[in-house]
Amino acid sequence: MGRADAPMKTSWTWEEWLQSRKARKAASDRITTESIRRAASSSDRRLKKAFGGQRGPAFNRES
Amino acid sequence: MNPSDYKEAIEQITGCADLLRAAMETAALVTRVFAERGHELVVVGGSAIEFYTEGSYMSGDIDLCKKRTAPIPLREQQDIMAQLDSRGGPRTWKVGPLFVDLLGTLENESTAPLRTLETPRGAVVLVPPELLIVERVLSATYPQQNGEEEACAKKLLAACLDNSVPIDWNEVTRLAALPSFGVGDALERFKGEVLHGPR
Repeated sequence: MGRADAPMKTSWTWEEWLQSRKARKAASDRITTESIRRAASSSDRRLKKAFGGQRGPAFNRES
Repeated sequence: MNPSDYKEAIEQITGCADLLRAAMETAALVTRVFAERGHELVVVGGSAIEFYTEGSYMSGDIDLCKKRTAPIPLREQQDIMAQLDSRGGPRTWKVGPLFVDLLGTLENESTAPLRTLETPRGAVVLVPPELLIVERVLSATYPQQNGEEEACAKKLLAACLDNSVPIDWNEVTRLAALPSFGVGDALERFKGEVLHGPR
């Protein structure tokens, strides 16, 4: 998302974001490839009702 | 955009299987309709963390805060969100496939700039990763250890240390040392473990 000697990048176009998603996913996967979605929260009732017992839809990354 | 444009956009987002993409486009529409009434919003919480990490963290809701302290009357919020054919309210709505929560005024102790994503539906403004890191290190370590939050903090750190997310490390260190966070030691330990593995 940027070079160390360049001004810090703070905005992204849609295309830049789509193209940079894999790099962030790869960095993140070094910690764990498992979902780290919270097991519970105060919004569980509405979330689980809406998403078939889960706290949200599947991630299904397209890029 | 006119009402039919918003309806079409929501239908398209509903057909999008990619959760983060759907969340960013939904956040852009919500940001847009509030901006048309002079209200600036900022994405916080799990969907902001997901933007920075792709870490499979967010749930099915998008948290937004007002950038300014001026109140938005609940009736006006309902009027604004009605443009997106939303259901519910007055602080939580279902918009297309996802929930949107308007939490209140942004609490941002960071001097780091807010980040911006230009989506096809409009701009999304996000809380800075500098603040998210110290918040997650705090919730991972205080008042007790929390493994879920530790993984989240480390995913944020991994993306930033990898320079996949540019960040002001001096600001992260400053925030971590503030009495309101007090996580300087934990931050350095987490960074070390991300770079070199657990000791």
